[in-house]
Amino acid sequence: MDHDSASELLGVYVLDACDESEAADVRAHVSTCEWCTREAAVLADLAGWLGASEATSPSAELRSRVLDRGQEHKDGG
Amino acid sequence: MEPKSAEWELGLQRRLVAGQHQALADLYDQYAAVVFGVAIRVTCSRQAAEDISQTVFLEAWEHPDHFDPARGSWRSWLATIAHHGGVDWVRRELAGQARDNAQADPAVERVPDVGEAMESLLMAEQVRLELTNLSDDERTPIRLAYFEGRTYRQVARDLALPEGTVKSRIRSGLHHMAEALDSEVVGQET
Repeated sequence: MDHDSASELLGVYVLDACDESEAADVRAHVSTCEWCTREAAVLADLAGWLGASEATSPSAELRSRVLDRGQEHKDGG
Repeated sequence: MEPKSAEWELGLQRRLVAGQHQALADLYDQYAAVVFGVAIRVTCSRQAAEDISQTVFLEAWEHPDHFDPARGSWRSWLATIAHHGGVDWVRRELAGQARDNAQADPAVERVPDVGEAMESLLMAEQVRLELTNLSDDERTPIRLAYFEGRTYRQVARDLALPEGTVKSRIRSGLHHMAEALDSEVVGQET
């Protein structure tokens, strides 16, 4: 994928709104293009904040579940 | 609540790499609400959102080296993985009406998080405000893509717009938000 096509897709790419094959093409271009790497990082950070704006507390049980599983995983090797 | 300075984030990564169980607890306590919030917003299913959240934290616990502090914060990285998981779930499970039914589920009621540091809460509030400040033309495709997990092609169909228009409106909308949020790097259009 050329630079212009990839950079056009960066916005939808950071929102996970590309088809999978297209996302793979964008990812491949970004890994070789300094400009797109920087641009994608900024847009992805913004997308992260969009997510943070929806912060919602999960149940208390989830915390125990995650921490227990974490313990098991590391213990199990 | 500890501040999320770059130093704290790096230290957290080192502790995770070292396999310190307390580091997983700290990571969880700091970011569970963001991760779960993204997942439940996209999936509208508490069960799916909890499963996705668990996967996200275990991923960070098993592979803390996949996080690259030079490319962003823990918050952004975790939110990205959570969003990815949510979108996958929606696209896999809910092709038809199920999602609309799930949306009516009274169990899916947002309990705003109070665990995040004040600075993050203010930033999140600012982001919400900037999204509201966008024109409908830019806001609607961003909402449909990010919060409802649709591809830009689906968004184009739903809004009866050319795909190129949706791509450029989403990108320009994100740029407008980033500029309003005083981001340093954005604004260098090709």
